[in-house]
Amino acid sequence: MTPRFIPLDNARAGMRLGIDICDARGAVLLAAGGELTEPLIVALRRRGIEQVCVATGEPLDAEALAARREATRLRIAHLFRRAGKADADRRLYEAVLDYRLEQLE
Amino acid sequence: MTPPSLDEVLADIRRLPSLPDVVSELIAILENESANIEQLAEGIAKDLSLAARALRVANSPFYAAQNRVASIHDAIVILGFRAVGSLVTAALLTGYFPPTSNTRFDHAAFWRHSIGVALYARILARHAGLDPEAAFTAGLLHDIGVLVLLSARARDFEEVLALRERSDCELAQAERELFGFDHARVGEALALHWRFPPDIVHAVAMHLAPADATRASLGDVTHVANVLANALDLAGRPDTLVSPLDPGAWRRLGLDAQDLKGLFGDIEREHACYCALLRDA
Repeated sequence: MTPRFIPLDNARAGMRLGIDICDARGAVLLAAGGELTEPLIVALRRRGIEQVCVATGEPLDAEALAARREATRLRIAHLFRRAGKADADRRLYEAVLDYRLEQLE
Repeated sequence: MTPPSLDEVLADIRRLPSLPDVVSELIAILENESANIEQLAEGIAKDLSLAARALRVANSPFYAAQNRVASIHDAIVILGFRAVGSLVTAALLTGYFPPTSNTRFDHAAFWRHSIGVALYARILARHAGLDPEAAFTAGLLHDIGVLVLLSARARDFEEVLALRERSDCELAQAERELFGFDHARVGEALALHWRFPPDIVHAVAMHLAPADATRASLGDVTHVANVLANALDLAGRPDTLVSPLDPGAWRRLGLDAQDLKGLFGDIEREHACYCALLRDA
């Protein structure tokens, strides 16, 4: 699940929130993963909110997850195809790969 | 083709109009420690569409203001004086060179990358004890030379883009091969023409190859931010390429990749927000 900001005008009931919505004291009003409803969208619009963070994509089954992990590895290897060979470059590559793979979990 | 000489491109730059008054004023105000909120608010409010965009940022979910921000004055109070200045500069710069019809060049991807570099530069500068807002502006400007070449030398630049595609090399390498100079040199000249502060001009000039030094500079910050924005694929272009990190810049900034990993998610969310806000810039 990848959180992504979209214009509130494109938000539809049934989409899932990508981050928590909190009140002024930091108490969670609606947790990440909660469903957007039409009244909630109307309430956000009334407050002048123009964008909302939604989670995109559905949970994957094991086979689809393996395919995504492989695609992620290939993409990062492609991005780093002309990267340096020093320790810092290698560690950056590993950090980016770890981050992307964790995102798929 | 007969490629343009550096002198010809520098002459192109001198013919470019200066920045809108409001940006020059903002740069001057932001450099002036004693500038006040009223003065900055007044500078922004002179341009209505600009003011509207600044307010859109202040009201964006990223800043999560509790109440709707109704005035530039409030925006400055909520976001901070200098952050508003750099946002407004961003809004203006992204609108300065209109998109061209060149099919090989993705204007939106160009700004997605530059905004990514600006966001990483801001956070790296904070970590290194350098000016975060100057770093943000340097990041935003770092590739501006590309837009100069694209708009003033469209046909020649088409060849550069074609060479880059054919040989899957860095853009600057294709530029140097065909022109004998690269967009960092051109960007430096434009940043000078626009009278940006010396450390920002220097950062634009040095982002491809930071000069060896004893202390970290905005050049180091912009160089590393550029590599990070590419590593995180923020432009969303299939042919993005991560260039080698300059070991000196990396060492001077005292960075560790695993520590940086903790920032990737935050920067990605902030990036999505900024790109949406500046989309019609």
